[in-house]
Amino acid sequence: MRRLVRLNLRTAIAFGIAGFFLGAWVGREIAAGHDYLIGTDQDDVAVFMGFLFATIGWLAGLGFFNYPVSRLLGRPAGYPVEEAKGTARYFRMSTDHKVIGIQYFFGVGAFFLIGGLNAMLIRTELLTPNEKAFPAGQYLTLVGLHGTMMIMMTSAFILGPFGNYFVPLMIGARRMAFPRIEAMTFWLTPLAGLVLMSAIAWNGFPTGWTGYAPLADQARAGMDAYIFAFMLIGISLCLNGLNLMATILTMRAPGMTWTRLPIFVWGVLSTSILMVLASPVLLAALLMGMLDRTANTGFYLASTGGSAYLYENLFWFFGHPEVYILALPGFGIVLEILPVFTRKPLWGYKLAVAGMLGVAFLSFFVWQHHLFVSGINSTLRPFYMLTTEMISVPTGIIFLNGIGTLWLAKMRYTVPMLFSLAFFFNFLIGGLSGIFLSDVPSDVTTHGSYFTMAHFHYTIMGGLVFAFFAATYYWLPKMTGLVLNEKLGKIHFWTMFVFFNLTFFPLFAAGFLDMPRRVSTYAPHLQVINDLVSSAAFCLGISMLIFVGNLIYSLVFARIPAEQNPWHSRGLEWQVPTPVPLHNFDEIPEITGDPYDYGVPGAPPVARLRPASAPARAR
Amino acid sequence: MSAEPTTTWIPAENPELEARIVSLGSYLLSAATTFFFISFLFAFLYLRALNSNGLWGGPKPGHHVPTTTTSGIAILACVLVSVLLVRLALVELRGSTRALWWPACAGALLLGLAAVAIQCWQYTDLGFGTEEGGYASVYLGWTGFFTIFTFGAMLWLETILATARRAPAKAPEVEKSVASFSVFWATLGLVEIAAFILLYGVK
Ligand SMILES: [Cu+2]
Repeated sequence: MRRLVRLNLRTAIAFGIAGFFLGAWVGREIAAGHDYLIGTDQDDVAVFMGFLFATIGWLAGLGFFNYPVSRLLGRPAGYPVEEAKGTARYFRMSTDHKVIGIQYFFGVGAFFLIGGLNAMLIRTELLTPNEKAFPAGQYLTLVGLHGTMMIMMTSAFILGPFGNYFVPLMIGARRMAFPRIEAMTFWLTPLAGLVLMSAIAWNGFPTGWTGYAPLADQARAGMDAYIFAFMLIGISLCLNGLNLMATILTMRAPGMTWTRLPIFVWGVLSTSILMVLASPVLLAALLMGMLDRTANTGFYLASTGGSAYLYENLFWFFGHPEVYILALPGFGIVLEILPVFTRKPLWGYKLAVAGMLGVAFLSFFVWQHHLFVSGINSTLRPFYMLTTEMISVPTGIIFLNGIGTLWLAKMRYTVPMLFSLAFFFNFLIGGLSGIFLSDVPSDVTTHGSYFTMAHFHYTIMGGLVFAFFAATYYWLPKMTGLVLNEKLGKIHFWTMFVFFNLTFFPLFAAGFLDMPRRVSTYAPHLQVINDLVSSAAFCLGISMLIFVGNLIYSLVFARIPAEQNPWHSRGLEWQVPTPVPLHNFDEIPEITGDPYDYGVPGAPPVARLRPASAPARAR
Repeated sequence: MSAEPTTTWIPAENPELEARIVSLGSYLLSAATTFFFISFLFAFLYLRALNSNGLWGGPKPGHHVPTTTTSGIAILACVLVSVLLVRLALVELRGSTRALWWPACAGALLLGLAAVAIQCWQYTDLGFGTEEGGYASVYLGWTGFFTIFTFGAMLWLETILATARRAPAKAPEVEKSVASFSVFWATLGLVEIAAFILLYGVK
């Protein structure tokens, strides 16, 4: 059964498109006899069947079904790894976690730029108080596309590239626990991005990123794209979490005790708990919405015995842990980076672990703070207010770890360090403004305003995206084997830091001045603030282009080979050669010391790599 | 693009580690599955308690659509006996003779597929439409996705049987893969018990 065609991105796209039209035809046939399905004058069944078949075609085109089918026929289990060079391997299904990490980096990065482009268009419309560039409906779609794209992509922003690439290297493993599932979590992500963008073909969707019912039940076919895309991301998140957790729990090298586990891996572990448990709820919530739209059920329709609150509850039961799916890996990264550039041990390692696990645990008990103004029973409010405020305790602990590590330290202001420091600055503002939103009295006045919007941009962009760039400048030399230009990196940092704050800080004020989210018009006296924000936002966009320019310059033109351990880090991932050999470690290493014993006299080396690992093997 | 890749194989981890990975994976998958169905449990309790416009039970307030208890019991029985047969196979595999594990697993597979078939047949003769109230929605969603999960579990079981048929000698490995499968299948059994109590008993 050798393949006749080479399966890669091209076959995936071809099979995906063919699958869509086949599925749409099947869906139309199914709907034909049922008047309630066609009575709504739109063929949701055909659209969903199209997406389903497109997904099957996409995965088949990449070769994901070859192995399951061979297993169904009784062939033995195994893990082939393609030892290939060149760029072609990045456009195929690969089970090498290092290839997948790089696929994630560029794949998710591309969609991140599209989401950013949406933001630029939003800020263009907001240059004037009146409707100018886009009609109200299109503006709403733009906001929805921006929000959904960003949430979908940022969920995989750190765990995708750096989790998949570095967790095995940091714990001394040769691969992830489930390499094929790892490949699938990646390949579902760009598909989800494409499906979401296909909503434009049906004039988008009106709900914003939260997809609230009953509007989602009434919306036209663009909503189907939202639902299906988010479902794909839900599956991808759940499987990614499962895989990461299985890897960390079972594949640690000998000597890698729980107290020697790098703090980034702890961040990944606590996040993966949330991914495994919260994303199935999102999947179920979206499937119910899909049934409402196709099979005519009434989960979210009060007119047929359902309730829109059901959606709000299920969505936010996922949605709040999702916030920490975004944030916890960021905490892990900055705490990982600080000791390297302060040359001090991480202060309060165990406290940091407790803080992360505490955040993960508490995040399941706070979701109703998103419903404070939805008319929930007011006796429920204090409980959720209290639990939400309690989250600031473990989060505060993580801040304490950062400050303790920085205390009296001689810092090296490298680019990753600058981004890490900015993380603390931004996240402090984001976190403190969050307390206002967890507080019922202040939430009822700021809910749905730009205050909320500024708050979560401070946590997600100011926190997560800054941590992402810290990780990028820190680890990309290891991943690509090439040095990133430091001067351009610093220009990128300073422009991004300054214009990020100039963009989002004034929006707190706009919120207090009652500027509502998701509306394309605003009171004329707010124009000065909005024009300031828009111009800062355009400069923020330019700072991203500086980063892209740096990538192109450093990886395509300059191509300066990176040292094995340019930051003099004790991390195990830096003890292997650059580029990392196919099997990571010739022999599974033995961990002999703590990862953060910087400047500790007599500290043992972090690991014995038994036979000193040879540089990249033959070929 | 670049040269033809050569496929090598990652040096095999020891089989014990592979088995531990699959076992842990099964527990995690069970946890995720549980949370998936907890969403339907929540939907059941929430919509039933809320009873929007009195329409929980059916298209008219105070009315409840008929439930097809007979086929419900049949599905429950198929699933539970199948779960027990897998446990039996496990006991057999851990014992000395190992004579019965194959028929037990094959029987479990057939019963699981029977549960899927009965559910599909039941949909053709429900006695109520999907739009007839909150109960109808939850019923359709819960049983529908349960059936899909059951079918997936049966594919897994088939894989174990097919692998063992090709390489019959490795009993300890078969035992470990059956044990991992059993965790997931027992979880689905618990989901089915909850579904039966709520969808046919409490209504
Ligand atoms: Cu929240």
